Amino acid sequence: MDQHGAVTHFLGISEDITQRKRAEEDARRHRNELAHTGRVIVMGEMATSLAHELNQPLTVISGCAQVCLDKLRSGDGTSEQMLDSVQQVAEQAQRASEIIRRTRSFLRKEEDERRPIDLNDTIRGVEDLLRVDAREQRATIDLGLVEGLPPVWADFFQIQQVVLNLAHNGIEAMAGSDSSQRHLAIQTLAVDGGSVEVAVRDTGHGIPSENLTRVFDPFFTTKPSGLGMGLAICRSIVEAHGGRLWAASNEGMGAVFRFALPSGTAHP
Amino acid sequence: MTTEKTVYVVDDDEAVRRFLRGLIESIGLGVKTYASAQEFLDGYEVGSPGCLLLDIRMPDMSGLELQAELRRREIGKPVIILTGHGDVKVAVHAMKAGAVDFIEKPFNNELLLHGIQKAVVGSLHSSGTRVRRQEILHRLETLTTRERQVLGLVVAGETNTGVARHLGISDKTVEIHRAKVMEKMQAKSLAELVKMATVLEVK
Repeated sequence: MDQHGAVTHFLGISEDITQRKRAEEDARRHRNELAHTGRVIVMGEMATSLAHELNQPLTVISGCAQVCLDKLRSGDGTSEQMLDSVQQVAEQAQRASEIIRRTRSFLRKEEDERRPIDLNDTIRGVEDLLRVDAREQRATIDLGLVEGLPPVWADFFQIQQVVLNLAHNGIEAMAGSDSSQRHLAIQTLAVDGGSVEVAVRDTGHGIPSENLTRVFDPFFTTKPSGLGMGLAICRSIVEAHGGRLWAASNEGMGAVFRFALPSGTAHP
Repeated sequence: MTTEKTVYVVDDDEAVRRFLRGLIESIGLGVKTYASAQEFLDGYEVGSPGCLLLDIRMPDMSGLELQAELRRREIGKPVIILTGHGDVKVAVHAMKAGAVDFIEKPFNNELLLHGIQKAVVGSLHSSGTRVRRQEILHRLETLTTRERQVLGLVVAGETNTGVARHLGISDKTVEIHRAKVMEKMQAKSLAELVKMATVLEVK
């Protein structure tokens, strides 16, 4: 600059980053598609549970509608009785549509959107779906969520998907256990060194030590109807967030899957 | 202790319990509802006549486990099982374990109430059963060997695809046989077919 503050010279370096941008864009799209595939797979596995859950409100709706029809045809119902039936129909229709809404919102194709999130919120967001799934297997769920966790920089829906997938696996793993001992525990905790950890613990038959790392391999499965993609996708999601997912087991005492994400309110 | 005829409803869904209470009370029977098998066992009073209406899926104890517990405690009430769609396998087990009827959710109110009344009166164990057995046997005799095989597998809870695999025939052929079986047995639903098979103990 000269003595009047006007720019006389300009020095700059420029680099064509189109290629790099495109590669990053491709990788991001690929991860999104993979995550979405994972959501579709786990929802598919939960379809039976959801069908049974929908069947409850439908039972009431169908029953109440028949009651109303009978009363209208015979002309002997009081309007108070009818009101009660119609009220039940309305409530249960609402309940059924809520189940569908949750399922759809879980399945929607979201862009990867990183922001500071509370891991406890991701768990609470899938709590209802998990309870539906647990009910099907007659398992109980305990949430041990530590309040005041530091936020993590992550995509809310992808992390939620990891939680749901791990919990669903845990619930399925207990299908062979005594029904009074099917407990799934989901816990969160802040770890020294700046990360937040989620542990999903089941009381199933555990994982033999030789399989502890193999369970994350694509197409590795011990379920008769499983594809073996769920955990592989979970791991890729966690790693794309700069975190880590691993399994531990006491044979006969169940398995525990943990993942840790670095805490922070901005891109690491 | 009460002598009023009572239907004991065990279902973990609050909305379903509320509806069943209203429906059953409308035919003048007493109703007691429980959210779980344990709740029923804890609250059960000896002596009140009636029947049990039991959802097969419960959080603490399966319908089958409860049936076993009832036998152990010598609670000899007739049991009607409520099932969701596609629970044929469990329903067959429940019938073999002594349930008098099973009804799929969602149900026809009249059918359910009819089943309840029958169970409460205990008419299922009357001579009517013998006559019905003869009737079903006659229908069974009209089936071909293949149709009998299909019937056996279907009431054991196999899907069409499962039946096809067992018999080494196509799904389409199974469907045709299955339709024929329903027609000859005069069964309007799978549930009805299973009930007939249980009467005969077709394996």
